[in-house]
Amino acid sequence: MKLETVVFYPHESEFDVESAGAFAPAQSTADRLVEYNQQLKDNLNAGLYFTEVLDTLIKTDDVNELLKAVQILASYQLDSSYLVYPLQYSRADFYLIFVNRLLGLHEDETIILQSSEQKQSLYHEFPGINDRGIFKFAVNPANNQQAFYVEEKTGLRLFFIDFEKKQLYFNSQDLTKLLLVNYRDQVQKHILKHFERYLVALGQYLQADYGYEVDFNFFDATYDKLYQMQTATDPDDALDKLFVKSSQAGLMLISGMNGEAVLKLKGQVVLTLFNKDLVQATQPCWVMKVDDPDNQVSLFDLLVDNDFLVDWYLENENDVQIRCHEVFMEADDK
Amino acid sequence: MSNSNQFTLVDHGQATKALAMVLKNKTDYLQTLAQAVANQDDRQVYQLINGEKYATEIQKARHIQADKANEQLVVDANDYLSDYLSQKLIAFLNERYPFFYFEETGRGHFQFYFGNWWGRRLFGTLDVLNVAFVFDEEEYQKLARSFEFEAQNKRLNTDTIERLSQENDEIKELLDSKNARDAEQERIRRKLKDLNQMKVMPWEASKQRERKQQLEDELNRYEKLDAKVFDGYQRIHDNEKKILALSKEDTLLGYEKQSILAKFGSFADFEAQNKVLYRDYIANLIAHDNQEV
Repeated sequence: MKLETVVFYPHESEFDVESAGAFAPAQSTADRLVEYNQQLKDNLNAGLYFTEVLDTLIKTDDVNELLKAVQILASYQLDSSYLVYPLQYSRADFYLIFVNRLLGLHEDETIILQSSEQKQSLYHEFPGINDRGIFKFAVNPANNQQAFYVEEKTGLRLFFIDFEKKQLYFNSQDLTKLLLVNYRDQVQKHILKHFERYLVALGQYLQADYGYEVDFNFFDATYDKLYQMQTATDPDDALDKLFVKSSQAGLMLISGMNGEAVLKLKGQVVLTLFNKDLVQATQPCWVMKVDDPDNQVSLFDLLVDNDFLVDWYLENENDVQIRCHEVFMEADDK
Repeated sequence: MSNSNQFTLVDHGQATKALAMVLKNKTDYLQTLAQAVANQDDRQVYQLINGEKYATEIQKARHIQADKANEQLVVDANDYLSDYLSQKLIAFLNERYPFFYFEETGRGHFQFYFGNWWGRRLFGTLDVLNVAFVFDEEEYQKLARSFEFEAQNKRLNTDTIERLSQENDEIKELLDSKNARDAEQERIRRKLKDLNQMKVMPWEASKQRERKQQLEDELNRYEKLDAKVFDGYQRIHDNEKKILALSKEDTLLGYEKQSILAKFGSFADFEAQNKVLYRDYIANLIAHDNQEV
């Protein structure tokens, strides 16, 4: 999937620009001039209004004004038949600015907003990942309030955001590919966790400030989080493999009283795998659960910290990978 | 008038007394047993339900006065006895054999697993009345053999796993080289065709036949290789399944061995301990009684 920042070109705007001169025929020249002048004024005013909103986006200290600004800009049509702005930022760029501003308001701006000189567009860069990752929004052409946050080189979609419905869903499958496969030997573990923290913080601010519905997926460290696995049957082979691999790593996968598999890891962290629909089971529903004394550890953290575990996770991904929101599946079908 | 032809019968008074004696003996037995149970005196219960075993193993008696007839009285209550006796016994076993996990499958019937790890094996049943493990023969033999293998610094399935992995490597290689083989076969077939069409002088005929045979042999060899891997992917998959099962078994046996070594020092000592379990347990009960007194 190729992702380019969308730039508004004169007469090639994303919107249909009414073609000039298509006005009612019976007009005197004077009327036309007046009409023209009025259009110019309106358009200039629209441009001025745009700069005011952009000011807000850049400068406001109010989270609500910030959100409103980005929503206006994201659907704003700056060009018209009378006035064309050759240099413009795209919606995707406004979304990036919004992210930085929101983090900034929480004094937590961990991602760097970069501008690419050739393309006149913006992108995100993360310290430590550096130029290995270029992060941008890919706006849904059919609905400009929806966007995927994408790593440009790989096309991997890290999360989905809907500014209108206030939804944010993380995509553990692509995050796994990017962070645990591609970056595995290239980026230090603590950097990967910093990157996780950045994404989680973003989700938390959206949740707290605007009431977003957020699926943190395998970044979720809350104590009662159950990570639902892909498999629709009992993952016997995968569990046996985990048993063997754990043993090779000097750990023991234990059999619980109710058929659950329990793995005690260092730092009093416990990973439990079990079928949560034991009772009314028409088909098993296997989940993973991570327990730690401070509720600080997510499944992703465990995977980062334990090489044998991530090996196992990747080798058995058809069974054990954590399910993602269907928005990522639908896009896959295309 | 008495009939002098009748045999002289035993005095009824005698008979009554004799029966009363027998019955008293039985009630005494049952009362003693009931009292032992009431006192939670498991040692005495063991003595009462199997006097012969108790005398042989504990008292090392030469003349055994077994009370088999009375013991028969409670045979149909074995499950109840077993259920009752299991509590102290399993507490004792939990300490001596911390790696056995007992499960009651029915009144007085117990099975046990080796370990608490994933995929742990069902290792046998517990004979409470005789204080003995009834090991699952197959599982026990695997464990015994894995101790033998340890001397060679190997695990039970090391060789098999190696063989299967090697087989998989070979199949993969053959699958990978399939295209090259196809091309080669095609080349040979073309050559054969050319040879067949070639007209040769009579004195060259034998040489040509020889050449043809050579090519056909070569073709045959390739076909055999193809046949070898026609179900290659399936076999790789099957082998991988087998390897997983064997690795799992080796891991299980590894944990079992470690458990035994940690508690008993050696497999021989473990086996020796199992043989004297009854005596050991009764001695433990006696020691406890003495402590309480």
